[in-house]
Amino acid sequence: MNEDFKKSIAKNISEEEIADLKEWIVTVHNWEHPSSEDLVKISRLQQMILIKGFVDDQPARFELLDVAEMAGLSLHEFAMYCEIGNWIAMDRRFSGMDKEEVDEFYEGMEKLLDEINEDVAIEEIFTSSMNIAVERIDEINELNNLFYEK
Amino acid sequence: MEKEDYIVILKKRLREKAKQFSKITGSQFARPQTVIDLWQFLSDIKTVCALTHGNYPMMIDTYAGLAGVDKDDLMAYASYGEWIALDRSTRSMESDDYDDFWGNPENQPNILIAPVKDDNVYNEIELLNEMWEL
Repeated sequence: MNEDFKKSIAKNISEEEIADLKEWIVTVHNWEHPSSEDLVKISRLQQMILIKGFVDDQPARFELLDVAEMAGLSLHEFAMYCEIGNWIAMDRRFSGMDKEEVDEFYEGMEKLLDEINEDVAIEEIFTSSMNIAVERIDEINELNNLFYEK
Repeated sequence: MEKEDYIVILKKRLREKAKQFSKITGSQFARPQTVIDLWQFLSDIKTVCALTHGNYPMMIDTYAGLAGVDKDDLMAYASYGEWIALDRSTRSMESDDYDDFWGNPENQPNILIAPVKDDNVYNEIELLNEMWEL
């Protein structure tokens, strides 16, 4: 396992911010009509929980399930809102950059992905995470079927 | 301009955009500006659909094929693009104005909803139709 890689991404985690966002999420009453800021915040919380799970080598899915439940959102809605929030956050980040800087960002991303693909240990972790995610989706589908059957 | 001419112009623009999308690489689809372009592409499809009383899902299918983009991907990207565009237009608003905007359900993204009687797109198209008839 590449500990340097873990250390580098661990810097992005703030336990205090996670706690603050969890407090905030229960105060949002109307998830039917969220604002763009709501989606940026919920995606930020999701990202930090995922990174924390990766760094601690523990699955983040149960914490994410808790967060979805705290928000009163189905898992599908939660995942969709987080995805949109990520896009908005990315656009906000790029808004202060010129085209060359954005190009550099994407070149850096592609380079990082290539490095990850070449690092067998990290690739194994990602493969394992993906397999767990697929298993989890199957479990959720089974649970959803049970609920709908009722 | 005649209504039919406007439809021809829109369809020409759609074909040109589809050609451009069919040439871009996978990593460019990960860029916010690309998904905004895809939202505008789908907006044009929606307008043509309303003007011609066409079948929205079938038209999306057709133009996604022309653009070389999976239909579901096009719809997802366009939806993200609409959210980003709305965020861009509201992020510098004062707090109260921002809350008023997002608190109004009519301002929520609706690109995936086919034009139906009395919705915003339908009313705008009806207005255009009335103008053409004058």
